[in-house]
Amino acid sequence: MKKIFSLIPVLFFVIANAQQFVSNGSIEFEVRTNNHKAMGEGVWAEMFRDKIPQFSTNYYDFVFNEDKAVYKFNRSGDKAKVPFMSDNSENVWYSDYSSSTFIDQKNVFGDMYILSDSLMNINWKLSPNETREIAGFNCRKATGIIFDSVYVFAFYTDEITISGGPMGIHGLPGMILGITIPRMYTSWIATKLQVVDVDTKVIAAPSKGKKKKATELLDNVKKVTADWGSWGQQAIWGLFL
Amino acid sequence: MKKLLVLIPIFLAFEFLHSQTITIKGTLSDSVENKKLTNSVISVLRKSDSVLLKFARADNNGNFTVSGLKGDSFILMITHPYFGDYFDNLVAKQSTIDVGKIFMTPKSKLLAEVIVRSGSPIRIKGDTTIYTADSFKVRPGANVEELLRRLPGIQVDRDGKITAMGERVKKVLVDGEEFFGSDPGIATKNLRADQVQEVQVFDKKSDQAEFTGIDDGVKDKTINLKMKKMKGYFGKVEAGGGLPDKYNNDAMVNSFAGKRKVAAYGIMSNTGQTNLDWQDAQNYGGGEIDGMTSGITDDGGMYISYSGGEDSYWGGRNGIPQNWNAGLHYSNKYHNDKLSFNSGYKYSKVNSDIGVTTHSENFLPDTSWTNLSQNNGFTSTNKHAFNVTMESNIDSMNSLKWVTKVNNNNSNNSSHFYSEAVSDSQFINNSLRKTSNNIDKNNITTTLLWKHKFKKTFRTLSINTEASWTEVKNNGLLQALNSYYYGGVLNKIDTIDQQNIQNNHGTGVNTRIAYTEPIIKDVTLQLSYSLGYNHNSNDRITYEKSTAGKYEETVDSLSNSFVFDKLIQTPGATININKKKNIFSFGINASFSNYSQLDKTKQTTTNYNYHNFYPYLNYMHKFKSNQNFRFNYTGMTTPPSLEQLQPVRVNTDPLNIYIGNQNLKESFRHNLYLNYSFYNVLKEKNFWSNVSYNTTENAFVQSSYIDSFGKRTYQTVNANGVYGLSAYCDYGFKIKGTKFNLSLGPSMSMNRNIDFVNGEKNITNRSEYGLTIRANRYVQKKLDFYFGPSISWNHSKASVNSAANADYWEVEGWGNLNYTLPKNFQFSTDISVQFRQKDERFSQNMNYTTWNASLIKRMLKENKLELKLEVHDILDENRGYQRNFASYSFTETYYKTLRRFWLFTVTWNISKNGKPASGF
Repeated sequence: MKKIFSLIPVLFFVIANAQQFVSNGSIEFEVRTNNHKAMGEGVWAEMFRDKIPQFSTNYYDFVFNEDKAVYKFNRSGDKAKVPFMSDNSENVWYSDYSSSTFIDQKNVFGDMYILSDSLMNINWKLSPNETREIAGFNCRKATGIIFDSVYVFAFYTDEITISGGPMGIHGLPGMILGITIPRMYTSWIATKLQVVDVDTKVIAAPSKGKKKKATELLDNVKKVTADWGSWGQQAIWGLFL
Repeated sequence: MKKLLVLIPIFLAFEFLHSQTITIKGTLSDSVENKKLTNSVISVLRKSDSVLLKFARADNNGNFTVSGLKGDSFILMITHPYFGDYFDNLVAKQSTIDVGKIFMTPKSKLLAEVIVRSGSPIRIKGDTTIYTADSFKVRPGANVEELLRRLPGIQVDRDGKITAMGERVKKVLVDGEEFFGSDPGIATKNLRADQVQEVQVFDKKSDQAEFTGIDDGVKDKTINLKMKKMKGYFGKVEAGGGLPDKYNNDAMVNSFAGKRKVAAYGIMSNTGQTNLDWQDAQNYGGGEIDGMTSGITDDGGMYISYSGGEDSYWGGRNGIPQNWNAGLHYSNKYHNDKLSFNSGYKYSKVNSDIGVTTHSENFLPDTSWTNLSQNNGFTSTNKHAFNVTMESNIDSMNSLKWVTKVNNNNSNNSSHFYSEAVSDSQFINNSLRKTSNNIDKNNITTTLLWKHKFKKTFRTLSINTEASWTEVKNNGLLQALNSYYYGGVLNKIDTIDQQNIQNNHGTGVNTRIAYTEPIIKDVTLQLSYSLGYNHNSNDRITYEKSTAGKYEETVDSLSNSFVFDKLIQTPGATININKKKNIFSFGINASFSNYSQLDKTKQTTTNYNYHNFYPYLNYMHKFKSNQNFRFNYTGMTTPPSLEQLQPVRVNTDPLNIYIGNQNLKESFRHNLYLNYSFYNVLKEKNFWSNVSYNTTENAFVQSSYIDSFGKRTYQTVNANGVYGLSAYCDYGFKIKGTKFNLSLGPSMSMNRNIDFVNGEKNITNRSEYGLTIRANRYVQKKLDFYFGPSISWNHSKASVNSAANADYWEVEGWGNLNYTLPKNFQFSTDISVQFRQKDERFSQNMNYTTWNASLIKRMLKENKLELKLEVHDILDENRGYQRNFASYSFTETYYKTLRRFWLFTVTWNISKNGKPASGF
């Protein structure tokens, strides 16, 4: 009985605290790719399958304030470099959700570009009764389609007020803390949220690279990769998300 | 007119609703405490498909406005982390819908009202309910979601939400592992029901609890889908026949069940298909391709190197083959893939007719002569190869790998050889020789590798031990008639009729220990030490035919018995610096070797000691990921071989006799290599270039003495001044306005070689300047075109005599075209051309074009049946030909090779649940 009494103030504290909505901070995402599936099925893939670990894990940070955010590489969880994986370590995604625009710094086949455009418009279908807890937040499921035919499964929480998400994925009533894109054999899951001691100065548009409108570059890449088959598609998805 | 006037207001009203956007507003309030609900999310979904249209958050007073909505039927969804969700259907009748005050209910109140129902289990094991998937019939091609709907106690609603025993299922695992982030919907929608063996439902403790072992009381209802072991097979049967007398038949199958694979193949052919091609080797040969190695480099690059294994494709110089091959391969994995077993057996028999004709012109300062030779022979080779590999990942820190290979090669060769040397239309010598050999070679090699990782990242230890045993037996017969002339008159005749029996045995053990220590960030030190011991015994007995007609009289000068012992210790150290832009490594290996040679016939022992050093340096600078520069230096000491120091005397070719040189010193070779490359995918351009240079101190070169009978005695001597330089670059780009890629590649090479002829030093300088132009076009599944001619200018100059010098142009090229035609037809053709500038000294010009073509028709479901008609060497011009300019001679060689034939092949492909890997 004594125990219960001591629990009560704790509970009150939790509820009182939880009423607060988060409007700025830093979220760490764990990005996992199934390398064995992403390699495809050719003879070369068979030859290398046993030499490459099944999963690659990388960590990215999403630093945000009320309406702007920067998403960028933090560290790799892999012991060795994995072939096929493009180098995203210097990529920066800067999104301004109030004006619905982005300025991204991206390594496109070895050259740095500053790409800007409007954020992509994703039609989200909500499944409000499907929920899942991610990084301590209760998240709801939404399903969207990007690049005309690629399914995105997202989980968002309304406790974080920014309508953002990793890379250019956004547009839900809250922060996206989990994404799975089966055709890219990759998932992005938030592992922790830091609210205090966040250096919000990093939320700024990147500037290292050749300036180009994203849609223009996309047309260019589509043309070049037209005969690459499924490799070309994976390359486009990886570059323009 | 009146009617129209009436219509206008109606039309306007209609238009008003559809062009104007809708606004929804209201106020939120806590139903218990009547508190305002700041930051609650108000989402508006389209009624027809639940697509999110707009959303807003409530202000400090709980007021909200969602505007700019299109359409007229909506779902209003209001959510707040600590209140129950609120849903309402709204239909727009005016431009603004005021929903008024909405009371939200705290979640704590809702939870109390949840009723827990219990399901009806099928099989209960502990706290797990197990359903056998096959007992529940679903339509073919159904996904797992449809299967779950059929299971008693499990409900799946319209949105894909799963409820098991009245509780929400939080996780769906596949074979115990999360399937892309454990989202239940992804696994159940993407996996096929017929692949599932069992559906297991249980309460999973939280990851935290599993990790700490402390039960925190949190349990998630979890479904685990235990998948069936995928069973199936694929394979093909090919039957090909053609004229003249050509056949190429094979059958291959690969059957799998889960991780277990059994593959088998058989080939019989006389069209040059002497082994599995690389694609079939991957699918049916256990993935092991002779001479091919592949791996991953430290910077994440992949490499495949092919050194041309013993059984590699028929080169066109070894005559006309007729072959039979068979192989069997088995592999499996156990204990959650921690232990893998891989084993294979291969057999091959190749019979081949060989015909080689050579013509050479030789020039010495005071004389010159012509050599002609003709060799006709037959070889028959039988090979058995067995290998077994076991690999065990004992734990995350230790792994063991054991590989054993057993080989048996038996070959029977016989040849008839005739050669003559003519000077000023007078014979110098001629030789007629008949040989036959039966060589039996057995070899066993076994290696054990233990790798250990330490807790400190990048600190590793590995120990590799290899033991080998080899036995070679040769039984040969030599019959020869050698005639020597002086001034055109027969001077001397040698006859040989001998049998020689050789017995060689070798055993060796070698152990290498390597240890890697991270010193500071990005810098590692690798230390290694290896110790090797080899013991060899070589016995050779030569018998001469006795008067009784038997080979029984031992020829002492050609019989000998040696025992070799070799002990080598090799310590080494390397430092690796791996920065983002700069990768640097340097180190040195030293080798201390001790040879001891015991001549059992003479009872003498000779010892040799050598200290050799192998320094190296590697540097790579990455300007960007698509642009880099490499520099590489290696230095290498090579000790003379025992064969060079003291060869075993043989008399197979009495006109060319090799003698030893006890005074040989070690040679030291320096290699330098520079490389720069870049590519630009978007501009479709690429460039790569490299320069390599090598020079050798105390190089091993040949010193020949030729007597007046044209008999050559030669040995290896040391010389300085041998070097080689080569450079090439390649620039590739897309031709504007077309879909063709073009690349231009200039190249050059220069070599300086030294030899000695009758004591005189001869320097041969050779150089080649060339340009390769390659054009290609590729359209996926449609067209593959390539054409790459190259032109080169060749120059060869010897200091001892200018008669063997040469300057000539050469054009070579190869092209192919693969085109997919309508109605499942495919056309392929390839062509290779060789043109050489006419040289007055050669009898023929030897320009030739080899042109092949084939037409394939695929038919039936999944292209089960394939018909192929091909013609090899349509122009019947294929030649095996080689031209060579040496220091004091030039030689041309003609080989018997496959010529024109046509072949019609029927292929039947079989498959169930699988297909062979192909392409990239």
